[in-house]
Amino acid sequence: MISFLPLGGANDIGASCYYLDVEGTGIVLDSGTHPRKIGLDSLPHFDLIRDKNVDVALISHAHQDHIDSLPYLVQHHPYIRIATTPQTRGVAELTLHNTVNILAEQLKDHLELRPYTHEEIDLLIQSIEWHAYTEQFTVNGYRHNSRDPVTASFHDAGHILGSGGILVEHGGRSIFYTGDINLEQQAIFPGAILPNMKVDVLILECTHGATEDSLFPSRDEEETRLTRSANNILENNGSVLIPVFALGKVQEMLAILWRQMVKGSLAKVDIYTGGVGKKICKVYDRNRFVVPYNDPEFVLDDVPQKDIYDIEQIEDLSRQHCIVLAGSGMMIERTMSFKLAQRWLQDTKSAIFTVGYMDPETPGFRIRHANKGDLIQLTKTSEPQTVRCNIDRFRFSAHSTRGGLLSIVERLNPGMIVLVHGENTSVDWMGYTILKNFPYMKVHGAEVGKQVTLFE
Amino acid sequence: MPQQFSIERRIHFGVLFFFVVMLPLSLASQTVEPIDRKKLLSLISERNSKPLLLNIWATWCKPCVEEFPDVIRLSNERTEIDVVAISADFPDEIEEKILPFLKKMNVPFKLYVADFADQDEFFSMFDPQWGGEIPVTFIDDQNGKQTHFLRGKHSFMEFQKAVEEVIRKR
Repeated sequence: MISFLPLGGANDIGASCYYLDVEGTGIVLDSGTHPRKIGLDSLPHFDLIRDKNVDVALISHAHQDHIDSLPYLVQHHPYIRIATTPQTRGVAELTLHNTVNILAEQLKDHLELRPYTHEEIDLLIQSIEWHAYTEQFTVNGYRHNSRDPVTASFHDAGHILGSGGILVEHGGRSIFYTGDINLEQQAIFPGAILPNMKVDVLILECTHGATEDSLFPSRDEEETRLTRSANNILENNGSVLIPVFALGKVQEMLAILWRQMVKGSLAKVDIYTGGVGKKICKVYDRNRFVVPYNDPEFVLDDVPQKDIYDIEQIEDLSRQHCIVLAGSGMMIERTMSFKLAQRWLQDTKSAIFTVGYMDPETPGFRIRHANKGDLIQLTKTSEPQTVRCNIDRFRFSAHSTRGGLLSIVERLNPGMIVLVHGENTSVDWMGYTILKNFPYMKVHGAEVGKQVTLFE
Repeated sequence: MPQQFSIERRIHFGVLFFFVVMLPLSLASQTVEPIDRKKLLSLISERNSKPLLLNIWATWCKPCVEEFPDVIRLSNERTEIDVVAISADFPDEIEEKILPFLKKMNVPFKLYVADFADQDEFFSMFDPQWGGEIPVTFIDDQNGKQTHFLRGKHSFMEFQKAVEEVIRKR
């Protein structure tokens, strides 16, 4: 029997973690945390697999919601094998060490969960085995009860550096988990390369299931609009704050801004970056000949940048006539982008540009949906403040549009689909549309704790 | 007939000798040593009055793996240069990753794996323009002066052309 059990990241974006039992071999697909939750609440429901076979964890990419609970999974199952792409391992070394620092601060008052340590991360990274895209490897567990082996392989998902959809095969049956996937070209990456085959089961992310495709203008149009808007602010001696995820969005935005500056379209002002995002740029650069890249000659580290952390009074940045790329992408409380946003909101000449996904319960979401003159409260405990700066939204998503998701369904032509990684409205739209267009397919909306039998 | 039999026997013996003695010997001689700062410095400075082609690769790097047979061919065909390859895999991956890959080939040159606690220190020992991207190939002339810095995957013909340029300058 082959079954699928979501432990997190089912009808929600956060704490992605799914358990596959393939004839006695226990496979964990991703092991993330929920970005806006703290402590035990942020973890997947590992208790659901406490008494099950847990043999291998396959990690699709190094974003927090897909990898950050891995050290806790290893605490529960110390003999688990971990596999990912070499690029994800390289990036995870930086991001997980960064998370150690964040957790140490976050969990000071949460006695029920101990933050993991730098030593644990060093050991964890050493134990991660890597497999290049399309390389097939065996993942049989100790209690595997079939003559046929279980194999796995990663397939370029076009989302961020090292991201891979995961193909699990056994006895002629195939299950493909997309992870976070993007078919379209971004500034750095050319887009996903799907396995060239029909699969039996597709586990499909639904991030943009609720967003009409018409809301996504072409990248060229969006780059032009961003350039024009940024020039307007900079010409009036304002500054632009762009909250970004350290992994993926910093690198994409740097590529876009620099391309426009080199073309002479965007004013050549200082670009501020810093922290782990800057370190991740080096991992991108080192892999630019190794993974599919739009322009391997483009070097992120060659883009002139100033370090945010070198500034003595970070609040003064808004007066410096510059562009600041600061984490976190959703302006989560206590992060650099949150601190800067509090200052930026007061400055009539400056602007905050949002460029990526915002969870509806984050300060970033509130800022994105505010207008000049509105009174907004960034957190439950903070004082309401009037929005005085400009706010604009640009869509540079690293996820497929819903049209793109449907084309994945069409190309892989599965008999069964399990929908994950999306809010209810996204999952509902995807389920309804798939059934309408492909009535012969079986569709399940994943629910945490609810097991789905994929094959008897 | 006896003579024909003898030739066949000789051919059989030759084939047998190759598979039983020579091939295992050549495979057995394929070793990979960790190389630290001190060893790398002496490697770069030792010249034997020959130019040096230094290829940096890793088993996880598809273009490196695709390029590797061309580096081997170059070493076999251009004996007037020394060829050395340094793997950017981890030193503890020699048995599990590097040797299984090398078993598929007969590598005629010295093989090392970078053994640096700090990756940036390793990168800094070559061209300051090198940020650690692989595959990468450096060619030094017989005096130890770098003449070529080849980023990305290159073909045998491209390596051959670069080597020609170095040899011609001698």
